[in-house]
Amino acid sequence: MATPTAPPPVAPTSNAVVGSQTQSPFGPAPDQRNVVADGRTTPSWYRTMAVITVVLTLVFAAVATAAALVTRSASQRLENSTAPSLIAVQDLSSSVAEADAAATAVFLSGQTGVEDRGLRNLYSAALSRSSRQTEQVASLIGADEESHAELQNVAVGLVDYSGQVETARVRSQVGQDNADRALQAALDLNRVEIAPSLSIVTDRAQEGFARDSTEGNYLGIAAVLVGLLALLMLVLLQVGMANRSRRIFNLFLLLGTVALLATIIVLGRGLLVRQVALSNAESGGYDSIVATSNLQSSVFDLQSDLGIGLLGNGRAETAEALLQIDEDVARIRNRAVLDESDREVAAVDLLEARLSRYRTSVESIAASSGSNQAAAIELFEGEGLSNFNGLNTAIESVLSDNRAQFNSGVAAASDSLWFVPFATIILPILAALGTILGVQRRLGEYQ
Amino acid sequence: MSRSRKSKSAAASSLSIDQALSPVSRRTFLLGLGAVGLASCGTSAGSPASYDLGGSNQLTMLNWPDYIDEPSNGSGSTIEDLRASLGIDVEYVAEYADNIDGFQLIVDNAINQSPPLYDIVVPTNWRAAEMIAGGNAEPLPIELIPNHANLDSAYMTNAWDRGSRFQMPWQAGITGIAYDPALTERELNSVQDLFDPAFAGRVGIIGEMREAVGLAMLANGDDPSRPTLSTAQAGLERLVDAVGSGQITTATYEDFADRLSSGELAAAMAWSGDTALLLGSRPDLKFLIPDEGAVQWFDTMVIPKGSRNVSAAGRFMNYVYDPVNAARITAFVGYISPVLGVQDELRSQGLSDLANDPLLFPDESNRSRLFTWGGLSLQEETDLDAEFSALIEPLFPEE
Repeated sequence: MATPTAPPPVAPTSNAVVGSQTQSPFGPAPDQRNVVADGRTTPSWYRTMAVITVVLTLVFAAVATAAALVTRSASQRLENSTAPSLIAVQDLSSSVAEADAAATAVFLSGQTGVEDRGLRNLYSAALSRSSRQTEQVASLIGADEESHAELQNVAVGLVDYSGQVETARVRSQVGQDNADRALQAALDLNRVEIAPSLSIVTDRAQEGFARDSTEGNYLGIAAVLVGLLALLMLVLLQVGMANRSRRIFNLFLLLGTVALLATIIVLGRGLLVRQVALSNAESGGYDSIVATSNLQSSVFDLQSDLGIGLLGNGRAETAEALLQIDEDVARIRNRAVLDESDREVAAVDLLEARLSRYRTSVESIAASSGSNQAAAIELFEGEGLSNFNGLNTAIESVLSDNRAQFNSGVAAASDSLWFVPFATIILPILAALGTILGVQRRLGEYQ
Repeated sequence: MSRSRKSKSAAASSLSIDQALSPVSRRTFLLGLGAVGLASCGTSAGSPASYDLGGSNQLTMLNWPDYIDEPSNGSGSTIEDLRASLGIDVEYVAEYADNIDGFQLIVDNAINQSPPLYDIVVPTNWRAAEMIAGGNAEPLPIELIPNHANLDSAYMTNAWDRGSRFQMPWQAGITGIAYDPALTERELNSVQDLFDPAFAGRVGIIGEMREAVGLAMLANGDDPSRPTLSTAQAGLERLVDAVGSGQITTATYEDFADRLSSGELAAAMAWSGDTALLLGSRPDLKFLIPDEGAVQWFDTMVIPKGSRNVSAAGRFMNYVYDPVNAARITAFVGYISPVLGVQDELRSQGLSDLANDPLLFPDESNRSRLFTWGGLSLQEETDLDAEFSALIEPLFPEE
């Protein structure tokens, strides 16, 4: 039975659930929107949402900072050791191959007259560069025991190798018949002992690059997801608050949202830029380095084989080797075209012009070899060597550009993250503070 | 005090030797031949159609005096033809005095301006190496220089710029020994001959440290293309001893030619280009690449860092690396061209005497005995320069 003095019930609003509570006779009735269906009050809802948001924000801060630190550390490792070691290993392979080609040419010049001092210098320089680069690689590869073991083999092999070359040289100078065999033993040593070890070190360095390139990526993705969740909660809090208080604008919550969003953007952008830069470094730089190094090795091998052939130790398979070289050049040209770089394409053009001259020399030497050995040797030591040097330095120019591109990509990857850990600490804390202050303010208004 | 190789050559035309010797000097002869034989040569790879003319068409180049052909007998010059065919507005400044003071006063100041005053400078190889090492050189715009493929590979193996990515040689020369067989009374064949007491007081030393010390290093059995401080100092010591004992009493630059011709010197360290000029009128004199070898140098085009006309500089380099254009310059200056195909071009122009000149085109056996100074650290070279200058300053004849 209703009394005539009782006020009429307040009509429920669309976004507040009417419960069992009735208007108090001891004061103004609380707005029905402040009452939740499960019996919790609006302040309680605010507090719950705020706590969830703040906790998620702090978890986001922790995971994002961890991801930023891990990826930044990996990027710095890439820049300071992994990428340089990758290049140093390629350089080492090239130096050993160059020493090989020069050793044959020096030996040949010594057999046919006075040993060519320029060639001898080239050989010595390549050999000492090999030793220096072995130490350099060892200092860059960190604690990888397998690589260190293989490098030890390379170092020992280089000492044996130079000893064999010197033995061949001395035997040749005193006119011993077995000088050629000593040189052949040196070249075999290079191919059987040194080259396979270098191949393993290269593989390990590539694995290291792949590892460091992707390290922290999953953590980064997890951080972004947690951040998005925290952002969602913060948005829901504001939507709920707006619905309850009819106030759309809460400065602190808005600032918190901006800070959280900025953190996610900074982290996501940093990770994305890093990945793109590394991807460019790998596809535009490192793959080109590998292709160019392969070309250089092919050319060195051919030059060495030519020399060996002229010593009477078999005939160089020039046609097959030149075919391989053509394939290598085509690969480099494709990469240059893909990179849409006029400079790279021009460098390949120059390389092809030098290759064309070298090819002519090689074919002339091969044609004369056997039938007119003296003419073949003269060609090898003169025009052939000049064209070989031209081609080799042209290849080095391409390699140098590729290295610059690779290093630039790796440096860009490293730079992309330097400030991110600061952002992932400071901005989420601001977001959490904004959430707390925003909710406190609303609660104060509510009180 | 420092003196220049080419600036003195420029002055040489007014020196007594050129007036006293044959009325048709080598340079005059070459000029005539160059004008007749090459005047009608157009450009091939240097044709404007093959260039992207985008970018600046301004170019300021600083070079040594007398180091490019000049208009003669109604024919144009390389610079004039280049202006016409490439549309590049070239300001060619022939005021590079030398690699020491000249470099400090002109090039250093110029390249430290922003943008630098010159778009191409032509220092000698060791100075170019310093520029490149100091980051003061732009990489060559190779996409505009397809004729880079014509660069002789002998100039591409320098450790300081493998592949010639920052410089393109302009001309090269040899510092060997010139002598008068009538005065030496025997054939010379070794650097050691400069230290033969029989010639005491009649031996000249060249005023460039790297060349004089380089030759002394060769005499010591050391390699100037891979110098160490100790081998370079040993070379310098050799010269100090020779000066101290009165073996070497005269220091020269290009004036070695005068002093040989006048009989004041019996033998001297000598530059191939100036000797070529001298031999035109004194064929009885001889130029020797000693058994131990000789020192080769080259002056090389470098684009100073910050140049705003890199594109024009690249197109200029491409033009002068066309064998046709390079041959015209070689015919005038008488130095070794670094451009492949110049010898054939000279032959095709009927200039076979030039094409067969061993001072312009050393054969393989001579080339294998040429050593380019390999370089020490900047401080070491500065110290050596100072010691060398102190040694030779008193030896320059009063002018």
